[in-house]
Amino acid sequence: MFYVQLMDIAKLVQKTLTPNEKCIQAIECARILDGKRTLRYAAIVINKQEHGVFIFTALRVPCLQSSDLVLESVIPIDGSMRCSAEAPSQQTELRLSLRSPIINVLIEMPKSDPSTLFLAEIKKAKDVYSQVPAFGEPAAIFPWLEKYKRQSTDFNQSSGENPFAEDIFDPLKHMSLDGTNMHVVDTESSRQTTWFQDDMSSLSSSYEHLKPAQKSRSRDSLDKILGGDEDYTDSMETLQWSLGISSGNELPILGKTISSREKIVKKFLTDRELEFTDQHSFRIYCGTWNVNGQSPPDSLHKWMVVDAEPPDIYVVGFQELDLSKEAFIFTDSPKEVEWQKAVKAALHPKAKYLKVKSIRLVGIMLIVYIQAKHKGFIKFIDSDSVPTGIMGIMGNKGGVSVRFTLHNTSLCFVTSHLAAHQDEYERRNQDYKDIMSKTKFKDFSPPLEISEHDIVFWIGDLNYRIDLPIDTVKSYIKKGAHKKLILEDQLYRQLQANSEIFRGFEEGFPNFDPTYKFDSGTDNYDSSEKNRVPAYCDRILWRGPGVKQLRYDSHPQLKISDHKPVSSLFDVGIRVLDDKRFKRVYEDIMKKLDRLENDHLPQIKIDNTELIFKDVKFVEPQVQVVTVANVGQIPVEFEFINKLDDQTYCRPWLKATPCKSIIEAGVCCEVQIEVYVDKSTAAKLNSGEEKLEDILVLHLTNGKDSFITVSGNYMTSSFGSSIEALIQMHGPIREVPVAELIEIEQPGSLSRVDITKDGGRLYMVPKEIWKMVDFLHKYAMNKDELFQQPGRNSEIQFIRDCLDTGRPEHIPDSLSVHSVAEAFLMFLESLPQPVIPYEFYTKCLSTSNNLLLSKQLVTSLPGCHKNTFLYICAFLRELLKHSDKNGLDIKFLCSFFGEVMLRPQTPLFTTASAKEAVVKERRSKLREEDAKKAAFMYHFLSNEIEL
Amino acid sequence: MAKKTYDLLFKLLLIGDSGVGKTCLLFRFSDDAFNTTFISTIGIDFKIKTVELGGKKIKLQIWDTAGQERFHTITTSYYRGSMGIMLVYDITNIKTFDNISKWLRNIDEHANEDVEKMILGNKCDMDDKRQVPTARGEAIAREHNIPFLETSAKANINVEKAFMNLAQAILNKTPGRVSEPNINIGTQDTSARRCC
Repeated sequence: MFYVQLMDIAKLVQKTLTPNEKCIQAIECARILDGKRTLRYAAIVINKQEHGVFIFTALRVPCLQSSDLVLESVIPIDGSMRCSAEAPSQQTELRLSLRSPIINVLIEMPKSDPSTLFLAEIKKAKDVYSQVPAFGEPAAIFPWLEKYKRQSTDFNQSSGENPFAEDIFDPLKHMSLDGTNMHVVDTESSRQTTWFQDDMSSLSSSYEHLKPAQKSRSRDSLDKILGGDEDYTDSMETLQWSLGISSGNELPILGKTISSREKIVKKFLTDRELEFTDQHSFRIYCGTWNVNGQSPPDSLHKWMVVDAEPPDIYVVGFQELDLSKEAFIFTDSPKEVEWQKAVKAALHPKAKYLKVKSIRLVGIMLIVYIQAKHKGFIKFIDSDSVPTGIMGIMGNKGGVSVRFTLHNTSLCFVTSHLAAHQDEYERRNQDYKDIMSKTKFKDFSPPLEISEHDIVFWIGDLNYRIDLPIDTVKSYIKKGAHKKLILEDQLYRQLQANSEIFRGFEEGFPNFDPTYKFDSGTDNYDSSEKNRVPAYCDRILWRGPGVKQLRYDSHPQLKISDHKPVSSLFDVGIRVLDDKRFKRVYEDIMKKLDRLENDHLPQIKIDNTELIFKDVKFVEPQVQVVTVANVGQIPVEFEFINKLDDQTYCRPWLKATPCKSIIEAGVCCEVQIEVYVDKSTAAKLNSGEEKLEDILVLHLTNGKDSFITVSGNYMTSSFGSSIEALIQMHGPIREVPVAELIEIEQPGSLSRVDITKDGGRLYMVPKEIWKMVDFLHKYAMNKDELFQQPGRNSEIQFIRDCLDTGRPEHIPDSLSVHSVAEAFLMFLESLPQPVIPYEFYTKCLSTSNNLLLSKQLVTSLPGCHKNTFLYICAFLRELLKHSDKNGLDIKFLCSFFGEVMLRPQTPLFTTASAKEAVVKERRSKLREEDAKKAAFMYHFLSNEIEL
Repeated sequence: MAKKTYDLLFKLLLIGDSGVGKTCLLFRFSDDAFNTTFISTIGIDFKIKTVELGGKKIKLQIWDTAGQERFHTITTSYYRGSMGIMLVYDITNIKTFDNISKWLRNIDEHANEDVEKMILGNKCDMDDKRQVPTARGEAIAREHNIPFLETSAKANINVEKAFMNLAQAILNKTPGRVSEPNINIGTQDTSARRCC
């Protein structure tokens, strides 16, 4: 996850090069400096035959454009370059050391193919170099690299000898502005110098190192704060950490689903922040000074130590820190070194301070210190700068900001230098708006803005003027009439008018003389030709609750600049988290969310989960309706699912309609549960092998399963009874006790019948068959379309009852012959063993072309089956005698009754989902079988066969 | 689908004879409430409850099963996939205790081999109607090497403890105890970069 996008990096590197240079490989690696690893990209660049290794830092991770890469070091692969690699076997990284006379670079990369390739390329490059014939002094080689060397931050460090310029551990702020050579220098990197070893770089680095972690959470803090997509973020610990960010305003209100649970947790926690935090007062010192490019005076104590008690936080802003041309061009500034030193020296002597962060944009610099004792409670330190100068991009004007979270309160400090000149207040307003809208703390996703902080301090040379004639101003100053002056102040008036400029900001009354413009070194207002009107250019404003201003002063004793420094002291309410109460609130929220989640599970009510079907009869469907009510809060999707290893969700005689549906919340769905016993299921129910008992499992998607039990009793019927059993029954089947029925349905029951005993009489053929054939023989001989016209259901059921109960004894002649014909066919089809039993099926097919063999086969059938077969054949032959009247022909009857009497045990068409080719093959096989069945039948229908 | 908002998801299952109080135990644990009216569970229901254990947020998905005998065959199909099984009997009904071995056999046959088990003797608030001495419960649990607790959903005795103990037992043998690789890598990276 950590080493990513190698190809893309090479492409990005390519974009930073001139057309005749080519990046042949780039790799993500870690540079080891002072024992610390930081993310780098190493690239091998070729120009003709000369190679160089380029080390880049990343302004952001992942790098998306070439401007995200900042060149740090350039190492020509020449004769003086030494390269060594080691790959400790127990480690997953390999280390590469590149040494040139000027620079040493130690990088680490994973043991991987790209890394090996990278090493191979360097070796190749060295070989290439040694093969290039060198003429005379090799000093002037690699001229093309010079421009890059100058660009590289290593170069700038060594040449400028400015320890602040070296940017080792926070590459993110090494911003280069398009079209200019302007640089923002993150002076945080000053940690390397001996002077500032007490700063908070070590603390910050514990976050900084997380930044280039992995693609999906490239900036660790950002995930913590805003709930990254995949990462688990609302553990108590991380939430505690993230709470101080008042960016929760974009949290969505609880939606239909509980999907974005951590966001809801965060919102709930933010809402209840007061329950688990206490407001603690922190003293914050703010000071701002436009120093007019001067070096610091001996001591800044008069400005920076304004109270006997040490402030908790120092926020010091400078403008015009460095007016030299170099400050525009180079990232380093000797002035910065001096002022950093001076500020550090002037911190309150009664406390120990650590530097939180400092940031400089040309002449605008912000330094933030905090008392060392608060170290453990500060987090998410970030900074940004916005230039608003010439063309809106130059850094002579603009603003820099530092933000962090202290305990549970987010703080943002801005220092700005807005546009100058008496009449340019619209430009100042615009500068303010630009800084406000363009400042983005990019450690956050989406980047955090100034306005999203709990408390904001805005200090600096805001350059707002007093709209009064110079004489009036000066006379008011003499009288000490500051109030009259401030009333005409451009900023004050806008604040009073609640305009959009500095909306929400407050300012204390500046009970001091205007701080601009003095003749340097004096307390005299501008005596130059320009004769500028004195003004309150230097201001300190704040926004947010719980801020109490204690002092607001200027310090005219400090005379080096044309501005006087301004300072202010505040007591600021910081929300401090109480672990115990936080835990309680957190657990409470968890409970609420669980309840919410449980409430949002699909919920249904079923009006009847126990269905009893009474007296279910053959081919007579019974339906009961079950009402499924969606009593939950979301639509539910239900489906009857298979239980255990079943292939279907219910027994074949059972059916639910619909078996799958979606029910809106608060709506009911009626499900019809139908029990229907037909020829395919009757036999097993008759024999007692199966009972009318089943459990339907109604499954809710993402929810529970409900069971619906179905039970009932089946009215045994001669339909579905075996020939063996039927010929043993003397009376109608309903009069046979169930136990006896089960007994005679057992295989081989016939052989146990003792004919000699009382009642041991057997019918030749089942009397039911005889009754139907007899009816047809009587009434259907001359009827058209016999076996082709469907019968009536009610009549078929009547015939069933007549046969099963013996009432009436004979089928009434009022019934349609077609009903009887259909019942007759149904009867034959329902037989558990067809007229030609299953075991004879294949034999029948194979003997079908041979009369003798067919005859022999019929002879070998069990007696009752043989009798039934011959009986039916005789009846069919009888029908054929009347074919002139009933229109039946032998071909039709052969194929028709062939199928009824000759059935395979397992039908060929079992699965509907069979492939087309398979289906085709089966069809042809089926046709073949049908032909054979008909042929077999033909033997017995064409002639009377004597067996 | 919902985002993962937890470190781990544990599936627990409640089994035992009809009327021993499986649903009540679940209701007590999830909603901290008790309902005296007996409604037989006809099917399989579940509730979720998020707990923190060992610094991890664990989402428990607790499945409540129908205890009626006619559903036993069907309910066994829900055993598979559950990581912990609560086997509940009623201390005021000896029959439900006698069936424990049958339920244990069911677990052996149908549940994952490494499933964590726990035996609960519920309704321990009704000591006057007790038919199963605590010692008998302890004995059968010891015999099968399964943790045992007497609980009361009504009086809220040991309910939380029972579920937490079962979850803890599952957590203890969860490999690496971290299910989300992201987190794992995150920490690795952190340490790699913190160095020195």
